[in-house]
Amino acid sequence: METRLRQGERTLAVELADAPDGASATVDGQEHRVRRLAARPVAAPAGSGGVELVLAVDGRVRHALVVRQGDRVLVALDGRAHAFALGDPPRRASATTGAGVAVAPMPGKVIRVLVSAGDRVEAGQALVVLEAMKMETTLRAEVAGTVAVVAATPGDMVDGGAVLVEISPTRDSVSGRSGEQD
Amino acid sequence: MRRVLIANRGEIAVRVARACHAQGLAVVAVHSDADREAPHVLAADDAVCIGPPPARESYLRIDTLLEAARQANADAVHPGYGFLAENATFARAVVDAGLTWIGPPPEAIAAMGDKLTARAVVARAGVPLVPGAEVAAGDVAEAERHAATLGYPVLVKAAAGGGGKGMRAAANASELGESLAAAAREADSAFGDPRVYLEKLLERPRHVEVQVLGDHRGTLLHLGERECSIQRRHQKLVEETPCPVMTPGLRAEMTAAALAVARAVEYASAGTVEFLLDGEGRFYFLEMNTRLQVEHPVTEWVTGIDLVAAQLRIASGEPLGFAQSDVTSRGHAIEVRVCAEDPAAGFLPSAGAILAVREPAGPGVRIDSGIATGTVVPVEYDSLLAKVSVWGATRPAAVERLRTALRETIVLGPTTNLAFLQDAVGLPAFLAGATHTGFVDEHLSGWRPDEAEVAAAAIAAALGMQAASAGTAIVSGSALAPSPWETLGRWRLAT
Repeated sequence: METRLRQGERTLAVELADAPDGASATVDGQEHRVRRLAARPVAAPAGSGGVELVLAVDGRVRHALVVRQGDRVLVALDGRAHAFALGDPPRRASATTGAGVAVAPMPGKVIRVLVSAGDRVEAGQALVVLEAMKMETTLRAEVAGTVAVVAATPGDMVDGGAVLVEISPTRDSVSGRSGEQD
Repeated sequence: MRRVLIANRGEIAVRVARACHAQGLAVVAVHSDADREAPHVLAADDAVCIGPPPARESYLRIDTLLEAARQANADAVHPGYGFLAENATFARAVVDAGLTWIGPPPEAIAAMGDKLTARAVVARAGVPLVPGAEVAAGDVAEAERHAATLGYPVLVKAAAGGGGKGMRAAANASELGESLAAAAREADSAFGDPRVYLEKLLERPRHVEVQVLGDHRGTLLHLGERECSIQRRHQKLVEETPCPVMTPGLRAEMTAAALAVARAVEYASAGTVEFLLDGEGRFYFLEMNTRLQVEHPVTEWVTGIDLVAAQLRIASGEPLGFAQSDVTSRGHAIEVRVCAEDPAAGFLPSAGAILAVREPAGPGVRIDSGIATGTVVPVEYDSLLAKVSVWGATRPAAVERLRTALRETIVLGPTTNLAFLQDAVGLPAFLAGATHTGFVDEHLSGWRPDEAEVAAAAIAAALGMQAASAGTAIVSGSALAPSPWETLGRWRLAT
């Protein structure tokens, strides 16, 4: 059985299989010896389920708590948390995500909007200042180009993942200089 | 004093509630709409809603807090740290309302809260200061002249600042303008006061601070130092006591300087005098925090003194009950701050529902937590979720305990810094005590989760889902070898 786990832009394929002396797991083609030593279900909030596991991976005993909520799978492995998403990556229209788009990295409040539609911007130029949990974060242009859409107003509360500014990249801006701004 | 309103939230409100209950005092919690089911509310005997989620409309509203105290019949107020803890207007308003203020005199808060006034007071007390300069609002040209005199890099700091808020570094003149503006905005947002000043940025200093404690009867003493050099965004991540490079001579000098600063403002209650310590053993006053400090547990570990209990006794007018010679320090204690933030993405704050929490336990392990399974970490407040602290007879023993405790500590839901903390305290440089304020940049910049860990976690995820989908812990026909626990069959207790 293959499980596909996404983490950011990458996908890990995990294949669990029987083996004469226990079991094996293949992660992205790399084989690991695995033994499950103990498992028990644990209570988790509504809409999620959890399992506590003791397993040995390549001979090293690990303690894990695995919680699944919808298509998210969260794993605490000896205290370190790892977040995965199940299934195939969402189909993306290149217009809504990518280098020409400034996306709120977390839910927060728009403090300042530094550009207007039609403005020419350089790679690295500050576009929007967001505040979340009392810290300011500046969203910067990843490419040079022309501001096509500004979907943020100071004072707005925005969700993580919300597209705040869209830039129509200047042709050949990908090879343009970056990191010169500050 | 019978009923204490805690004007705060999160782990510190829970911590203060514990101390109140231990002294037979009832606790009134306050909460915003975002915190109705928060652990600090459940820890209290009574709770009052003080408004919508934004702190300015709830935890920072003096009028609403006083009304909540009246409504709930509280006769004392503990401010915790952050929010209004260092707001002299709030302290005065509490006193004027006929309530007991569990904190230092409002005049001491005012003197130290304005960092520019504080620098003047400290200079008069004969304690060395980090070189710095005042800048008029918006006067970038003047700021550039001062910065050139001090020498880059410089720090732009909020005059009303604290806790790393409203603080920005500028490596050169071209960065100064944006740093001034950003620091002023953040200061205005956090403290309602946009004034900033410049300080020279010292190279790789240690951050060492002294805990002071005074009553209203003239006793003022220190409880030793804490080192808090490991920071990100000028906010502490790891704190310990004693400072690994402390010597008896340096401790005598530094604690004497701290007491001189505290005496200069006729200090009472718990407070902390912060210094930067350079490689040559010279130290400079940084600021005084006129409140309980986040990292107070490490001092409690080594001295055995409950600082919040002491604050309560002092506020009710009792004498401290011990002298400097009664204060002894035993062993070594270390604390780490568990924060909802992503160390792989510039420590970007994270929020959302907590799906699972597991707290560490065992001898010499303490957790101060403001979260629970099923609660939500709101976007409106600080990212601090909990603190894990440990005690050991020696520093290496404490480090080993901390490493073990962190492997046991689980927070699933928002992204946290727990894996980063494991890596930080796992570094040989940390074990060696070679800490300074540039530690994170030097050893952990560009930090990413370990690849082998990601692969092992992916295996655990696949295995966990397989076990979960089978509905029970026992997966018949599993591809994986069952453990003896699973092949024993049903258990029955012999009775």
